[in-house]
Amino acid sequence: MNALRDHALWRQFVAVVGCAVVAVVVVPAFGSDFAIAFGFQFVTWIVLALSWGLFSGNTGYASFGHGVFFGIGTYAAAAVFRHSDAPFVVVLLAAGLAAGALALVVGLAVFASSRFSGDLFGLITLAMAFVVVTVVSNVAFLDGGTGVFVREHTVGSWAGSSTSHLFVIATGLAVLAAGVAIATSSTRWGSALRSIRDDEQVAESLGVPTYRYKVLTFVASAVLAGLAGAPQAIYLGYVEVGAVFSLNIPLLVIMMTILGGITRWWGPLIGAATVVVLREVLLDVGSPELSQIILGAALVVVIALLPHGLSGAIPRRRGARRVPALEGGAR
Amino acid sequence: MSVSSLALAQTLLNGALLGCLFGSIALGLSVKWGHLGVADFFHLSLTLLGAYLTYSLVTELLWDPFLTLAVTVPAFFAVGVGVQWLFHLIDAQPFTTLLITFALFIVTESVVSMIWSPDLLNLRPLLSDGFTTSIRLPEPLPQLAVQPIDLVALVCAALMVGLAAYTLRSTRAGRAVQAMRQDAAIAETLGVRVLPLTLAVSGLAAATAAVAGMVVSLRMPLTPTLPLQWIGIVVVATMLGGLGRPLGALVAAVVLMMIQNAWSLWFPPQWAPAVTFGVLFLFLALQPLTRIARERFTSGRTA
Repeated sequence: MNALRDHALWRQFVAVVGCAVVAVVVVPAFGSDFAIAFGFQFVTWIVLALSWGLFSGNTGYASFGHGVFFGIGTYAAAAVFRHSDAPFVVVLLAAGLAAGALALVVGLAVFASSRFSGDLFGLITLAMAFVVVTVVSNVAFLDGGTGVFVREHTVGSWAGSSTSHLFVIATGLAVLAAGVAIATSSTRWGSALRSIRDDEQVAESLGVPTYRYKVLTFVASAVLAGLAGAPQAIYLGYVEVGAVFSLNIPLLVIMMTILGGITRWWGPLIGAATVVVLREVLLDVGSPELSQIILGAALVVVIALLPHGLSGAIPRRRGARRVPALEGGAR
Repeated sequence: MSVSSLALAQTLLNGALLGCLFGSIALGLSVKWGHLGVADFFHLSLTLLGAYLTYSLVTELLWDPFLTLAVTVPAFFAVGVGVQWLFHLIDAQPFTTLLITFALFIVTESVVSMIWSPDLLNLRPLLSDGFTTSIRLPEPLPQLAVQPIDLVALVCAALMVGLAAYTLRSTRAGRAVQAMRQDAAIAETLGVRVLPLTLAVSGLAAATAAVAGMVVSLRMPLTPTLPLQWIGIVVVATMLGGLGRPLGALVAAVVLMMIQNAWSLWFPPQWAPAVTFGVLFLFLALQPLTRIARERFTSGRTA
């Protein structure tokens, strides 16, 4: 438990909590409705980017399934709202558990063989997305193809009564995600994950239990994304397969993390900020297609020119621990 | 629910012919993935782009669909070379190439819907009757019919896949590609010029997308999101067939489409996409067994 005594880690965590408290107090009090809604989406993206970076950034296994975990959380929340009067805490837990359970099943199966590393893992997570979309759009309990109205079930509750309450919830989740990200930045857990990225076979031979670490971290990453789905369901009000499982979501999440850089825990944070602001600016460009093209092209340029991302381009203050970025898993 | 054997036979035939189309899309993906280590989402986008280019050349310049290949094939060859050159320039790892092709995939979808609009575009009404009148099979099975365009798909798939498989197996260049796949550094020491070879393979793979795209434009109405409907079947066929084995991918695509079509006869058709992935997950679960079997059968030969 050396990590608990590491003062640098605690200082970072306290700083994050401080920022979050300021945001929770200031934004709802002084911000316009637009600012609050923007803030909610912003912190939701932060949760997604940090949680994607937690698994894929640290281990080098590129997952295209992060949008699925987020979407599963959204749909689980919608289903609980529709079929019961459970309080929001239960909804939140259901969303996280549903995403975590899917990740557990997929993770246990996929990580069992070293064949499914690198790009094969990416495609399997993408396949998972298509299976989940098919299941959700055909099972009447979840959706059945017509979409689900959530607003009518949440309008009386605390969480559903105002966007600023959703902002508070999402900010709490962002603090949780940041806490986990900080924990992986210099603990044994984080080092184990990065050793998998650098050379999985060597890590294994040195006694790192790679299978266990990969499964657990994949689940943790999915749970965080699933949790973020619960406030998202309320925010959307109407949940529909095409929007919830859009391939843009994993694309943007990956882009935020790669742009921000995966060599520091706060890389996804500034990546998320950059992409969200960029998207907002691009809204004025006109067509959504054009902004999509610019974002995609920007991702290509960033990967080509800044393999360590924005945070990796900033020199470290002390120590010269250089981490090679963007290595694929062992093929 | 009983299904007549005639309906079943026709369904299986249609599935097999549609599988040929998907097999020719999977060809490029299989070769690039297996031999260059690039799991190329962008290949599907190129196929879509090929289909739209064919559509425009046929409707606006009134070209013959087959004539369009004279333009699209060289153009796509250049695109394939260009993308691989980019990967070479930035010394891309598999993880990076996957992200880049994914980004290009999304970009192409948007580009296509900007240029050609997101609406359905259908080439069929503009085609001559020779393309659209279905043909009855000769005497032993006169009840079954095929679409002429499906025969085009069959011929294209057989030609391209056959040529690719022959080249890989029996020519000097093909054997160089195999050597490069096993160990690029050693192959280079032994005189394989790796860079020109990878560029050529990537270019040729992209060129097959032009041909597949032409068949697509004749076969189905076009929308920018078509690749999302193909990606499942194409990727699963590529994996089931064995990476880098074009013939395997074609056979897998044909079998998958036959299963999917037959499924729709008995079960709700909206579940059909999940069948493909069901087969994939079954395949993954059976990996250890197939591996043992393969090692049994191929012991003594190079796998």
